[in-house]
Amino acid sequence: MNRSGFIIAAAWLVITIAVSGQAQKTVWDGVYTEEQAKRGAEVYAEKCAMCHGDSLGGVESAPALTGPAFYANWEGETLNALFERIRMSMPQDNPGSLSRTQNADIIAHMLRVGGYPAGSTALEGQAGALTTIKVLTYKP
Amino acid sequence: MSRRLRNGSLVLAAVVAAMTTASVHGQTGAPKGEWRTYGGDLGHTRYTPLDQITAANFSKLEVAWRFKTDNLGPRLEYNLQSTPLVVGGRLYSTGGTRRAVVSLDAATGELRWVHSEEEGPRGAAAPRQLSGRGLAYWTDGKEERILYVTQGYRLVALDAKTGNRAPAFGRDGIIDLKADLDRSIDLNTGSVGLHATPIVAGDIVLVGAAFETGANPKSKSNIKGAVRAFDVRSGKRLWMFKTIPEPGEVGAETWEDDSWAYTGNTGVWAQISVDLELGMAYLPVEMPTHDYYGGTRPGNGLFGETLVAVDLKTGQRKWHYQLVHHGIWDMDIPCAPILADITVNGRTIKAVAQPTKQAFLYVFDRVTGQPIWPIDEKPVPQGDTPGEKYSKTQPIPSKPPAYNRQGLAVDDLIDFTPELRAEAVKAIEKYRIGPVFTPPVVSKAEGPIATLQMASQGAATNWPGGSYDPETHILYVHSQSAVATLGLVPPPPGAAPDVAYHQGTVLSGARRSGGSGSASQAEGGAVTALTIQGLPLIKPPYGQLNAINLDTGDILWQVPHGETPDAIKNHPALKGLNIPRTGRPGNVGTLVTKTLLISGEPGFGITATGQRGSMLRAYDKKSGAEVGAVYMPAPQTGSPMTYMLNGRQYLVVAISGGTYSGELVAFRLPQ
Repeated sequence: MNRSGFIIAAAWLVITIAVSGQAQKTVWDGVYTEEQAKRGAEVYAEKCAMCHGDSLGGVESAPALTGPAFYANWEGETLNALFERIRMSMPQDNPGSLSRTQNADIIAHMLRVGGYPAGSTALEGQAGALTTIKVLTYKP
Repeated sequence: MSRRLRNGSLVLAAVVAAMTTASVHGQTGAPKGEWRTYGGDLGHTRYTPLDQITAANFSKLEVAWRFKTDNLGPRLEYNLQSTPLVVGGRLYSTGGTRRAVVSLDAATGELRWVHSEEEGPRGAAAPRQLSGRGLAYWTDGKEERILYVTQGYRLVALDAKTGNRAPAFGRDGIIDLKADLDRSIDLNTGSVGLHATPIVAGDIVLVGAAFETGANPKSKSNIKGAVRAFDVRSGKRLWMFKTIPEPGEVGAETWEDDSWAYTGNTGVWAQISVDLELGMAYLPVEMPTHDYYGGTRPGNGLFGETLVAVDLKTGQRKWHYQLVHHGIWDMDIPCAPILADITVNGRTIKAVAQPTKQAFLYVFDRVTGQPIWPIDEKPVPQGDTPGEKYSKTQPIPSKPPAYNRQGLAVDDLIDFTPELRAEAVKAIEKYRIGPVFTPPVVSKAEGPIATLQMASQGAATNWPGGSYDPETHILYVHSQSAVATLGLVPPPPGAAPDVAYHQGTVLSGARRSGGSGSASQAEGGAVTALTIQGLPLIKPPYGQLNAINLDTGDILWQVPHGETPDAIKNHPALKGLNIPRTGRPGNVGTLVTKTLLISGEPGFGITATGQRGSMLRAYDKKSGAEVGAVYMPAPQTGSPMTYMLNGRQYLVVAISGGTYSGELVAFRLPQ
């Protein structure tokens, strides 16, 4: 292998590791904090519970935000996809009215209720971070 | 606001002129290769005799066109529930977050015109948001109109050729449905609306009413949900049927302690069916105020949860049958009654069949209201909620058998492995379970935390209703299995001064709104879903299609509908097990053709081709065997419809969900 070939191969390796490192992160990796989930619960109670139910169980006109049927719909998607859906369409009576931080906090609350473990770093409301975390219903 | 995109001269005027309103009969299926009313015909059969698409070619279907609804409103919509109409080569639908109306070229999907009403705070305060379930069409052979109900509860008539309001109707094309109700309400904040379509029957248009979901009302008092009929030409009101009788009227005695005076709801939020030949309309009435506690409305409460037949021209009641006495389970009547001419013991009967959340199919002679098979008043479990006065009996059909699981028994719990079953038994030990009509309980930490029931909100059949094959007399209906948590707790302080209980549990507190969910206490105080290692509490099927022979009252077949969710397939506790197709929960509509039953599966998954999405599936009508499937990028959220145009049969279905915003997708066979 010549020198330029080595550099290309090395760069490829770095990229591969970086990409695979991103792909390996899932909702099971402690991607939010307890404190953040508590903040999210407060926002949820005020802005979301009236349609989705206090315990995220869903109602006639709004689906559950937890449980097997919900997670089946998001299986394999990134948290950014879920975040974007919330950002673009919720709350239904005033979409886009919540800050990115509030939306991230709400997702933290959803993950807490869904039984996914908390960690030491809060979930960021930025696409760069959210796209690295995959939704996997069950622990890999 | 209306915008005409292309000259209306392309409308096939000659074809339109040949059509009359009389072509939409009660139970004959969609006529002439068109789809002129929400249910295919006014009897809501969702049947077409078209037969170009068959078992042999279904899987070869390809996308003819797509129509995205994203920019029809100020934001994206992810729950597009419309069943479009097709008349004279034009497709009409509601869509988008402002509930716009569009006219498309039915061959290409090209937008011809769009109409929407900017309703400001009135629209923003509407209890039924989003684009609704569609619209209605009327013609006298010359003029053509599209009618729909806005989010802000106004009935609008449009010129079908241009999308402009029809000025001769109401006031400049609009009737304010918030006016002339039982009480004066604020036109902006008065909380009543409708997401069902209006129904055009001859020259009459019928509309019902819908309210905020009623698990935790702010008061025992609410607006009463009348059904009204208007002249489709002028908009003049012809009649109003009051769903809560006043003293001296039939049924008034079923409201004890003058509870008729303040109780409200009892709207008709589902589709209404009509028999034009009999001149009768069939109204599926929802329950009265408060979905789970009836202490403030003692008595059976007519016409709550009652199928009411009225004279189409006068609104006079012809007969009624209450399906649930003094309801406290949020059963409502959630979908269109299906008109069916059947043959029972050699006798031809004009019947009406009502699918329900509680999985009973109630079948009556639609002329007289007499049950086709005996419906017996049977004792049901009684509760002990202070102030509640339970009905001692409920009407139980002897035939057909319930087409889905109803209450909850240990045998219904998850049973993939003995360990999972044992865990489920433990998880519900503080809950009350029992057969259908087991009442809600006041929630206590030591138990019962709540009653668990499948026959409640979120249960068997909801708004999409069923289909009926007028040739074979088989009724088809989807049903889902999900467990509702029926607990009662005091409302939050000041939230509802005259209401003793809201739905909720000691674990979650009173709900802010809405219906049933499931919850249990996690370590640390947060509420988590009542699941078993993340799996559903109950065993499959989670969703199924049911075929019921209406001549005999027997269930012909039942098959799970929907591939096993990936998350279940991949669950570590189920490794090595062969899990048959589980079906998926959801509200799912069906379409019957000459040879097929067609329905999209609910929910996303990785499909057989490796693509994330959902399948539109076709079944053999006689056996329930799947005979074909075609890929869709998102699940069906409206109900499929079909039409014939230029020699080709089209299937159109509204899809959306997850990250996929609303879209109409049209399929046809390759040339």
